[in-house]
Amino acid sequence: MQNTHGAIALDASACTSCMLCVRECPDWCIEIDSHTVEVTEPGARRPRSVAVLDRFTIDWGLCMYCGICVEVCPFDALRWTGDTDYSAAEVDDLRHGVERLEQFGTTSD
Amino acid sequence: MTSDPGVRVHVRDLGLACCAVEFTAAVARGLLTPAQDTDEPARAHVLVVSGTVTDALHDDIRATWEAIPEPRFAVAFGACATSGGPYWDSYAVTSGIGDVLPAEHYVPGCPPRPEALVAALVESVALR
Amino acid sequence: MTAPNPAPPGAQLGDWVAGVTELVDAGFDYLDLLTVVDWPDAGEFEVVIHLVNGDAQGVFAHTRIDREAPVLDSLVGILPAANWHERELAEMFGVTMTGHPEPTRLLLADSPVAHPLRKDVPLPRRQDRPWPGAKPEPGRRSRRTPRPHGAPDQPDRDG
Repeated sequence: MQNTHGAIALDASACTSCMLCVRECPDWCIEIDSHTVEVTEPGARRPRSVAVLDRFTIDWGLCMYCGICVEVCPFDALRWTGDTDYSAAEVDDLRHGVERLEQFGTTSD
Repeated sequence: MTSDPGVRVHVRDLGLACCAVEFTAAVARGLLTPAQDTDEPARAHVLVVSGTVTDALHDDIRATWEAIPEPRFAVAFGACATSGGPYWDSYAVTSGIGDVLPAEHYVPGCPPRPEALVAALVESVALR
Repeated sequence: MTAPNPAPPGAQLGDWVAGVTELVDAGFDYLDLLTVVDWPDAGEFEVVIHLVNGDAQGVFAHTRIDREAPVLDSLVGILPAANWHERELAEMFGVTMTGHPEPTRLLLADSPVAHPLRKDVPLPRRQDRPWPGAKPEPGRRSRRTPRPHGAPDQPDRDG
């Protein structure tokens, strides 16, 4: 069940914290915290400002699985998976952070 | 009744909106067995609330819950029953059935797949 | 039934009931839609009706009413199907339907929100929860604060 209407997985290394998915989400179910660091690459004349993702959460209790976040991401950091088995005993446990979002699509496909 | 041989629960669907179609799909695909087709005793009675809960429906939902025999538990099926879903900010929609009855499990999805319902039932029974 | 052909924007009616009666008499006797568009900046409600004839041709008509004291003559006398539409508009926008045979609530339960489809009615839950998109993207000083889609500017909770 690859790429079906299941969970949406995150590739945090591809995410630039650009906030597009957060702002396009009709349900307000995505949240991002980030900060920037100055990185000086060898040979570069000036340091470069790089975004570091501190927190990326999707609240599955709210998400309406419209896929706008997947469509809008310019860096393909979000993708559909077939995972469906992530119900919870508490609504708050349906808010998943980077660690869990990265696991989707890696076990059952 | 679920198709999982270890999980014999009597499941009732309180279908309030489109998620109820996925409950029907679970039956159509044999993931749930119609109660009249089995003689096995149920270990528990489950109320599955699928669909949008409006504030006007609270009394009816509570009455339905009270009518379910013990031992019983309730499952919120889909985003609306879990949190209000796409209608979370509405003036008329309840922010999930947790405000109305003691829900024991929340199945995310809009809609969730039928497999997600069965997985949630199996997990709920295992946790009991 | 085939879908009605796209109708031109339609006339602004000065006399609402007389204008609609004229259309009904011309064969557009099937009520397809009756609704209100809220124009808060203009201080007006725009009432929109879409009528369809036996050849599945549609026609729109409009009229504008004062937003502060919205009153509209009921069409139920000529279009019985307008009954529920008008009760809905009375609830959702607070339009008083003059001459309506049954001016009671249709859809809403007792609710603290009087007329929820008016654009200036705040959604309390949106005010309890900040929009997560309001944070600026990293490294960029935002020239203006982004606003959530679909949400008209709402008065602050305290203001």
